[in-house]
Amino acid sequence: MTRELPSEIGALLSGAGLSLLARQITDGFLVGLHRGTRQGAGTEFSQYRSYQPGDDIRRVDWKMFARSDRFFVKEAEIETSITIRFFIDASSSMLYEENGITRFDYAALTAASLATLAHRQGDAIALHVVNNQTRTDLEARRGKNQISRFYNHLENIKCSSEWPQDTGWLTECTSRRRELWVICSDMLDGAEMWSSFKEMGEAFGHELQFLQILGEHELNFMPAGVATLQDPETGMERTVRTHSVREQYLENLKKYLDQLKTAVTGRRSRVNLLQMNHPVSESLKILLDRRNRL
Amino acid sequence: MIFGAPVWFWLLAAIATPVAVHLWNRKSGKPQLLGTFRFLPERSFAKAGRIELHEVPLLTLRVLIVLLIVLLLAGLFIPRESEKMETIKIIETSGEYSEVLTDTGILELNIPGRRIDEIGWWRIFEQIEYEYRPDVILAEGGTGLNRFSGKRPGLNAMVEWTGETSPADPDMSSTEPVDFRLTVRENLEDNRKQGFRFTADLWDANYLEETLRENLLAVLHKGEEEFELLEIERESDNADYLGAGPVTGVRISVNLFDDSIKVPNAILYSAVNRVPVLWEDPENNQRLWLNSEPETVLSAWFYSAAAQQLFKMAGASVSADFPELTNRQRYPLERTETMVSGMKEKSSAVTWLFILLLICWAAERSIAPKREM
Repeated sequence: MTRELPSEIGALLSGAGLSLLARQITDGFLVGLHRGTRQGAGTEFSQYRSYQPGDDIRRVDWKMFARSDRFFVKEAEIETSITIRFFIDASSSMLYEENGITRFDYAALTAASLATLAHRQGDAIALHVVNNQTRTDLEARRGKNQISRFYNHLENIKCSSEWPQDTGWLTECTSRRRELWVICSDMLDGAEMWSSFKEMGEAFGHELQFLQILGEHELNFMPAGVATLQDPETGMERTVRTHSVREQYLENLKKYLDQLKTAVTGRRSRVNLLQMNHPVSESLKILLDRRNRL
Repeated sequence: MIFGAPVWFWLLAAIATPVAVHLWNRKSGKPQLLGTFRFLPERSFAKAGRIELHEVPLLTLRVLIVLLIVLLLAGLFIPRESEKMETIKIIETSGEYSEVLTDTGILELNIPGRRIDEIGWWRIFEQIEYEYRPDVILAEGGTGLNRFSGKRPGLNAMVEWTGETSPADPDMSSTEPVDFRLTVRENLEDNRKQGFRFTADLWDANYLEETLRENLLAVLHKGEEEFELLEIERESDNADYLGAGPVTGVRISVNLFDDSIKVPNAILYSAVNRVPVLWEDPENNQRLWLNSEPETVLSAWFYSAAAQQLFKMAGASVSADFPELTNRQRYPLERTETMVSGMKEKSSAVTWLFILLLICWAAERSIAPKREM
């Protein structure tokens, strides 16, 4: 039985631009990544609090005073403005293809959708497309044209090589401000490396959302038969009888995923598994629901 | 299973084509990228040198398609499995043919009297034994001598008469043996001679080859009498062929599935049950004029039938009810009805083969694009 392609993947295959699709996807979301600054300060009511000496007198709710003859201060939720920094894996393993699109396409669409959402609520966005040979950086900005630059950067990437094993380069990709890091990768490069990545991010005081993107055939393995498989990073080939290796393969994969989850889950970091055969909008909804609000 | 044209089996070699395609496809199969490659266990890799067929179900379907096409061309014929009845009762009737299965499990066949006159009891018994393989045949009807032509066939079933009287054994009352001698023109082609010899053997006649005059094919000597078979040059058309059996008294019997006759089926279909016209000389009853040329491949049968007619004429001059063929003489023509029912069975096998072929083809077409093969 073949699974029907998610509509946005179909649109991507038919040549629709990343920017258009990202906007289409984010149009469906009413709630953003976190509370933004677009509506102005203090717009969202939270609670009433008794007036205390030192409070700004302008914050006293006079209508409440007229009704209760007591001073109350109207409190609104604290508004934030953060930088969303995207790290996108551009190693060879991102060339893995299912239903006609590559893992990198899926990652780019997911990142672009999140970036569009963040940009709309006035957050600064930054982008780093990384492998151990080249790194394409887009500095964090909040400007009007930032999102267009973001799309452009993503559309001209060629995947090759591997994900860098050391994490020293991360020091060049951070700021003193509070940031949300979104990492789009298959995360198959070893749990230890990702653990140190997380530690580095948390040490800077940032929040980390790992988006691990895997294909249906990677998660459930190939259909029964004989298949010639190739490692995208090393180029090694093996011809296997899928039914005879499936059990062991799934066991190995599960073991690794559990190990990875333990390694990268922390107080301010979380790993989210996205399946390439699921619509990007669905994956984003799950991600946003989990994260709720900052 | 019988095959009408087994020569088509050479096409089975075409099975090698899908096998080769699948082997080739495996060799040239494009490797699929798998990001999680490193989680494959080290063991259980397919050995590179081992021949392993790719997409076995698809290959099976394709081989099946080739096989079905070959079976269709080879003319698969599945003989009918007849139903066994323990007891069959034959009742002579003045009405139409009918079958009734009684509560006691006896199958009653009502056969019109004129039909019994035409084909005789022995042939009816033979046919019933062939179709139902009964233990007992109960017969009820007239037992006139004309209904017992030829020798009593070797039946496995026990025949019990419930009619007027039990028949006398025709062998006991047969006419005196007649001394026949068939002389054939020696410069005839071998296949013609073969036909004459066949009929002479059937009639236990002496067979000779001598120089005869040009248009004389054969002479049958019965004692002092001579009966001539002559050849005339005459335009023949379809009207010159008469139906077999009741009209001419002779049938050419050809088993369509007889491997020894190397004839295309189309010729057989057109030739079966057609007998060359033998024109009797109106002034001299002891002459027959042969008025057609057979298909070369059938000429042995053709001249055999002509000679048969000559023997029949000679026999008729001895006594009115002479043309009684012995069981051996009758043997080939008894196969005619079997052959016809066999053809029906064959056509039904063709229908099923064709339906199966369509199903396989549809399945193959739906699977192949998904597997990119």
